[in-house]
Amino acid sequence: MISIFVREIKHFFDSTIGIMVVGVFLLITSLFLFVFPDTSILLSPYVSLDVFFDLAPSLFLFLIPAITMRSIAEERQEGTLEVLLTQPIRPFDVIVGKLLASWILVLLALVPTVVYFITLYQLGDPRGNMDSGAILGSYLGLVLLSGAYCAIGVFASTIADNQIVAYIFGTFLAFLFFYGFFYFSFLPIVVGQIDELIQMFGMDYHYRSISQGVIDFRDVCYFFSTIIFFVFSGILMVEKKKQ
Amino acid sequence: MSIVVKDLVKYYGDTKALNGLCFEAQKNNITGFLGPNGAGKTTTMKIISGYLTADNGIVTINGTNLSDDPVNIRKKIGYLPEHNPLYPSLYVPEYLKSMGQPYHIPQIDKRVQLLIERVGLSDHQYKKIGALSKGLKQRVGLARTLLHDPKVLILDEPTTGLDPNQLVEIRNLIIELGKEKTIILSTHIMQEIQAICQKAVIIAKGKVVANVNVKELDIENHLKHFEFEFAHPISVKPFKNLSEIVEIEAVSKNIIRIGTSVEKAAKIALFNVATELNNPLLDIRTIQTNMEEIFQNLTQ
Repeated sequence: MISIFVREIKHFFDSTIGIMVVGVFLLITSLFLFVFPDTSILLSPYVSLDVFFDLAPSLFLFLIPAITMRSIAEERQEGTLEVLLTQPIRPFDVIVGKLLASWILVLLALVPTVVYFITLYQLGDPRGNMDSGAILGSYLGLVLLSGAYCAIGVFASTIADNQIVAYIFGTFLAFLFFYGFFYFSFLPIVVGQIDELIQMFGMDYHYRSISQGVIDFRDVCYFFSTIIFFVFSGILMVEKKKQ
Repeated sequence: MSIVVKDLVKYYGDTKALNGLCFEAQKNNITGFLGPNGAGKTTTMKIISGYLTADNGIVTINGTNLSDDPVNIRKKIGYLPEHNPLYPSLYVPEYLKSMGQPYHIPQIDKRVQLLIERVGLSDHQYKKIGALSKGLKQRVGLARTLLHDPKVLILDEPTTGLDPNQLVEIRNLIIELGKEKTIILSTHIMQEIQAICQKAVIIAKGKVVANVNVKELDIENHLKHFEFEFAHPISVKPFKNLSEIVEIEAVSKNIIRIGTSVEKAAKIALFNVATELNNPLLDIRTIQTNMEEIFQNLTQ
């Protein structure tokens, strides 16, 4: 697993993928936070990072499948998966190694955003007058959400033999899990009956919950369950495609 | 380490790729795997290497069933797939080191350097794999299969696409490795089997159609076979004492077949005897008795 993890990380930085993802993420969030007048925190009367935490899940929806799309699909296309799976390692090691490498790359994109927090802290009147608990909770939510997106993306890559298909499928699945269940809950057939239950299947529900600054075990458990579910689905797909 | 493959069956959808395939590869021997395209060579190799699972049948390596302990058995196998997939963005030592990690090889840097020298990559180790020629990439693939010093090597068409010089070098390397490892290699080139293998397993339509000892084919002795057709019936007796002829048999009343290593001298001697017997020689035909003939007969 370690060798796969290290090779993936190296690949991200040897190719332009790593720099592109981190760069695009930071550029877009910075534009929204500091340049665009409607969302700029410099012009806002409130000291809040809500714009960033609302925007990040949507950005990750497009960026994370771009990181993960090649993970298994490319290995299969190039034939290197055949070599990996004839080594004394299990498909679990391959999937988890790839997942962790992608997740770390996304977390690296989050590290520079601490600057936003520091900026806001300085802008508060009096200085530091902000809901730090909610921001920390939102960061934790974003970390867990990105892990779930990575697991979905790696799973999509195990299904598709083509990277583009893996990207589209990964984006679709991530969309379904983040927004899909939320919007399904507004269907007239479920409103007032199981609408909240349907919302609970979606990531948005748990992300919002953590973002309030109260870390509920159930929310953390939801994200980890999603990750585990997609990891094992990915393993099954790798095993099935070996048949 | 010996490899025993028994009653292997493999389906791809409705297509039966392997149909009860059986053979044995002996310890410290090179077994050549020969067959037309789609015969099931690659599928068999993928199953032995542990990548594919057979629908039926067993593969035992040194007495241990592959499916009983796949992870540990894989430590004893070095597998080189047909297209030799590599990571083009990595440098040679970096690639080998990375691929060696799952085997927990002690002093891996030393081992990598040793293998780089052994396969003749010392002058190219500071290049990225993507910048290497096909022959050099093949050496990288071979070095990767040897990283953990496996006792069994499965090489799927290891010499395809190499130039004549590279071909000789890789063949020599395989011959050298065959002294201490059990090797199964597949190829389309008959001469390759003749040059480097002790045993040839010929497969067609997912079945073994011949399992031959290469030496027994007289290829090592370079015996050539000819058929002589005479005008009148002839017996093999008058020719048996000729020192130029190693083998002789009657094919029909008027035709005899001989095996010789000295073609010209044998033809002269035979012609002289025929003249003495006053039995005119009508025709001389060269008979193929090599792998190519066997291969064509068995796989058609």
